[in-house]
Amino acid sequence: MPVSKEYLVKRLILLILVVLGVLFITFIITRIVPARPELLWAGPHATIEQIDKARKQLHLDKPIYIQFILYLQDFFQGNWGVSWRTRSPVLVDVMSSLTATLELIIIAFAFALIIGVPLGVFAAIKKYTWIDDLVKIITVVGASIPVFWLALIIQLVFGTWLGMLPSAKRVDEWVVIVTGFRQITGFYLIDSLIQGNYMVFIDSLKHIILPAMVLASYPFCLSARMTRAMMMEVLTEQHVRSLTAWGLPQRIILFKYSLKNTLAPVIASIGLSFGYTIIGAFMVELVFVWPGIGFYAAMALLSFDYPAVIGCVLIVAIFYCVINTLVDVIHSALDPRVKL
Amino acid sequence: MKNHSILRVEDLSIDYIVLGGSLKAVRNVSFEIYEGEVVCLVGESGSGKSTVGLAIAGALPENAIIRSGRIIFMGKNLLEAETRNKKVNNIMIVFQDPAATLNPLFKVGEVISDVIKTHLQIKEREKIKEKALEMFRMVELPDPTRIYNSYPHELSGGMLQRVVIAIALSTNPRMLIADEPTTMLDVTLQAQIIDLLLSLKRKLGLSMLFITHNLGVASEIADRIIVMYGGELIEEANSSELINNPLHPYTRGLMECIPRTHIKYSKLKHIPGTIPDLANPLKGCIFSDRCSEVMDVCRVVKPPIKEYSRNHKVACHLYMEEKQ
Repeated sequence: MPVSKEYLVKRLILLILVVLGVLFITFIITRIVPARPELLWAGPHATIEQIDKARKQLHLDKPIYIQFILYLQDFFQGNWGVSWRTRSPVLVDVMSSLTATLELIIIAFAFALIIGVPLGVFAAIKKYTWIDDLVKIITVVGASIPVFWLALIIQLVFGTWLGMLPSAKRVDEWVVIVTGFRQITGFYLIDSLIQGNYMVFIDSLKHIILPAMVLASYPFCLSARMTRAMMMEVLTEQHVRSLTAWGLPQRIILFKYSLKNTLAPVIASIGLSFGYTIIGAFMVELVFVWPGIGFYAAMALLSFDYPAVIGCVLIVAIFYCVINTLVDVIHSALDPRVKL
Repeated sequence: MKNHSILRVEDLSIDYIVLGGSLKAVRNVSFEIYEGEVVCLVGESGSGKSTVGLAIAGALPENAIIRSGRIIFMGKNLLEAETRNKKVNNIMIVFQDPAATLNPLFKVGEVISDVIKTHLQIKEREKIKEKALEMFRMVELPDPTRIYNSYPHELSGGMLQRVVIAIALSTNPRMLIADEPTTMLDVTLQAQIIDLLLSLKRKLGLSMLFITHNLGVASEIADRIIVMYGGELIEEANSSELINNPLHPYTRGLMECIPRTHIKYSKLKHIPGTIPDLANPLKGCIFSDRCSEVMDVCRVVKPPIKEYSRNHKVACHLYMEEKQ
């Protein structure tokens, strides 16, 4: 994997620039919006004096650039402010909801890739047959269905009618209490394994299946369709025909050689989709009462909780940068001609 | 030389399915290759020469359909389903563009190892690698270990073609098909690769089908030359016989197209017209619309390929009456 130091340094500088830019823009936008967040901070039935005090406390009485400088000072000391809605530090809030979301979408995307890529290969081999058509129908329908609708249907069928799996929250409260489960990384599946707490592990696994299935639907269709398209292209190339002529078994030609040629673009688009889903999982999180970052960001926006909004936007920006870097690194690992 | 035939192609016809119809790329082609012989298949682009080679190697693209014919190699028809999978290590092929022949994402050592593993049933990694390095040495590649661990983009065109030849010969084949193996290379390299192929052919006792559009190259290396035009076989003769006494007007035209340095000043000749439409081939002689000696009969009746003299066959009406 030829990743040079210059490349990583370049990416790091880019990341810092992106963070500053995003901070600046979101800060300005949140302050320009005509809303009065001090009312939220002061609480219901507040007197005018209390509201004025809240304004001062939140620095809302100062000019915007002073507010920005004050915010930056705090920010670089690791203090992303206090959420005006939950009154706990934004960084803590964002991190705990981020891990909840990441746990969900990592499982969803792993599931999508493991099923989607082989299905795409299969459709490419069986091109223009009924199998190919069936895969096409499934993937087009799957990519077009709105996730919140799919979420409701899945919840109804598997949760309510069949009663097979829980359809809300990350884990049952009583299991946590009974077994004395503690959070370490914030990823429940990992934490429970570290503690050898199999009850929580099984329970959170049960909870994650339905929302992960729903979230997987789009990347699954995307990867299946992309793999099929790329594979059909690769299979017409001379190097595949030469391997056939030299008598290598079809299985090796397809899964060892050709698949590698198709993966780079598939990984790139899946990576972008992953970055988008961090916030975009909001609909699914809402339906399945999953305390993720999409959910948190939506609540923050609705209640003019500016520090929380900025924190969410920032996290997403950082993740986009990291994911793009990762996609580049994976690409260079797959293709020896790409040097970073 | 003429012991017994190793490969016999009988009445081979191949179509390509394309948008809006089919191209009759190869029509009723028959010929034979004897053991230890080098046969050159000569023709311009679109003459069907590569298609014949690919059909023998079992490497036709997906849109090709074999309409009729048999390809009999060492007594077995390769076009029958059960022999199809077994022939590959006896007939191997070298392609035109060495850079496109190899997958850019894999080390060349990986590819040759897989070919060796598949055909020679060698299990031990060490032995496979040993055999691969031995093949690289045989094709006179410098520093075989470095080559083994190189990706295609790290090697030059000439080296890549040597690697491809090493891969093709690693299965100990009886016959090698070389599909314009030097067309994409520099002129200086062309001679090297051709010399290499000929010396390997002698060393290993191979039969070889060499496909080229260059009659000059063909005359240097071939025992026998077969000329194809528009998907049909039009002339076949011993190499020296064909060069000294080309019969078919097309072959004569090709001869005149070879640039010569000893003639002081002359315009380089060319054959007027373009290659025939393969979707609707002419009813009569396929060359009749470009031929300078065309007769009425040529436009109506397709001339069959007939023996003109010993070791010389031609498909042309000019020579029909003479023989009768």
